[in-house]
Amino acid sequence: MTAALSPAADPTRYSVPPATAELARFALGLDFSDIPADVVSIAREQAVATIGSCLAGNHMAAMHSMAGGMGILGSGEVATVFGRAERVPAPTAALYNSGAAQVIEWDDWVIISHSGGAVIPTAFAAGEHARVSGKEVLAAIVIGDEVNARTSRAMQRGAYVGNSMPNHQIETALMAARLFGCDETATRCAVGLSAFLAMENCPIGWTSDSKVLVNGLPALWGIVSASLAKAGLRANQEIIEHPAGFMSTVSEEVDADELVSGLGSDWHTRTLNTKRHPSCAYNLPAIECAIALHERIPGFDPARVERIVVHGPGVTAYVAARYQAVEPSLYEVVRQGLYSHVPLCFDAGFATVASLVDGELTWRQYQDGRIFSPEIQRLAQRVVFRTDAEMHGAYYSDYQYGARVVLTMDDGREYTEERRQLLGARDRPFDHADKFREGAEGILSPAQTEEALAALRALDSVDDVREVAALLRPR
Amino acid sequence: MTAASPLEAGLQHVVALWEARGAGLVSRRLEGALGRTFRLEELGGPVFHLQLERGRALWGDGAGDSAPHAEIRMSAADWARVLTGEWSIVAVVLAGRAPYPKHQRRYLMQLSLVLQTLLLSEANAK
Repeated sequence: MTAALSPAADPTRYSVPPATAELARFALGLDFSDIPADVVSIAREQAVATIGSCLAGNHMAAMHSMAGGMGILGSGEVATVFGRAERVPAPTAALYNSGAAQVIEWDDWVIISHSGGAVIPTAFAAGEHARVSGKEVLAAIVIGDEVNARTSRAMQRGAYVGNSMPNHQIETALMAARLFGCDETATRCAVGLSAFLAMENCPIGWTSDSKVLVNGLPALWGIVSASLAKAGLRANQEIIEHPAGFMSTVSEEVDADELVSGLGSDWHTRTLNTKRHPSCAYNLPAIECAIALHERIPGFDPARVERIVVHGPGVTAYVAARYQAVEPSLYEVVRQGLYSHVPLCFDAGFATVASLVDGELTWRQYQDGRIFSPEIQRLAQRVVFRTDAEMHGAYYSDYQYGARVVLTMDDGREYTEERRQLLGARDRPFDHADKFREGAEGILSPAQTEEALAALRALDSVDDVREVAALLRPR
Repeated sequence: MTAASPLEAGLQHVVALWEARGAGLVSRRLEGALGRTFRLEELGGPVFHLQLERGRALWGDGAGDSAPHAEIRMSAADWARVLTGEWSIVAVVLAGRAPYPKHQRRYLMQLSLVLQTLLLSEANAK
């Protein structure tokens, strides 16, 4: 552990930054007017992009199942389920919306940790419950991103990466505590309650719909914990940094200084990366290349493709091939229903081929009819991966997500497309309205889609977030 | 003279590649794989140990002198595909054919990523 001296340093005592207290003070003390305008703008756009993902998620069978089963958590006219008519208790809304944001892996990240899938549903559900203003929701989103980024950095040398990082039960509790008006002690207790049962995930669970719980449960439980703490339930108040606390429980290595480094001055929200297409981030540049090839090859016929080589950072192949050793084959266990579509969200081979064949990658490509289409199945056997050392280095030194896709056709012609950074990266943005509209298609009417989009982009002007949330329920 | 097992032949290849260009592929997030001793076993076959350091690799028969940080056991057929880079160690774990004890996870994950990256680097892969 990288230790730092506490204010009352005693060299004989183990000492790390008092992260729980400092993060609680940050969460309670941050004033909307203190947040730089560009950071507010990023948070607002994060809401647009994430809710677009949530709306699209409603098309998936997994979310139909969740909607069917979540009634066990009770009913109540409190919070919005994006893209559905009913209103439910805030923890339920956070659970569902987080699941919908992630069911086709269409959510964003800061630094190295997924963020919007936990932060946006928590901010809206807790915000609706507390009837706060749009500015308060935006402040909560920024708090969530800032805390999430720091906890991910503190555990980056451990076993968890990306979406699997078990850090969200910290930021969701802090956000909800702020929105519920907890005092500092109750806020620290909210984290203590939320983080007591550390929600690590079993690697094999990523082959199934249970993936939707990875941020959904922390979102639900963070809200519940804040409510319990506000009512007086006490918990350990240094649970984040304590040597027998949360960080040391979930990560083999903890860089404790990262937990509070630059808090309130270095805005990690600025590192937000959003996804134009639903798939693991490592696959996104290859998807963009494949769509470009589909569009630019005259009379493109997937039946004439003989070989597809995907070049990129080593981690692209690592993630892409993670389920390829399954017997009898990944596609067969998906066909049998033993796995769901979820492992295909990480499979760069599937993502590249589906994008190449269909000229798009949306929720539609994750339906059985497309997964098992003969064109996609034929080409899925013809993809190989190569590590591009330069792209590999650029990823680890500067979070550059690159890929080069080379097609060899049956007449020997080769076509190549390359991207050095994914569309949606902090240094290569796209218009999130495109994503929102794509997600809302078939869920909200075109007119309501535009109305909701405009309202989200004016979120800081509303006195009660429920006015905006109401536009996200189909009329 | 008997032919080298898939594990032994693959390790010879890995060590040569590593000493040629491996260190440049390791970032801070992956450096946990360096300086660790791995015990590699081919089920029903030989056992080797491997330790990667910047610019060199130490390996040999048996478990080595020090207690391993992580142990990897899989069939010859699985090793053959892992040591070409087609699959990673973690891919075999997720297929349920290799153990993944919690206290060894990060070493296994990081070695898995480093090995596959090395084996698929363009200068090596056909």
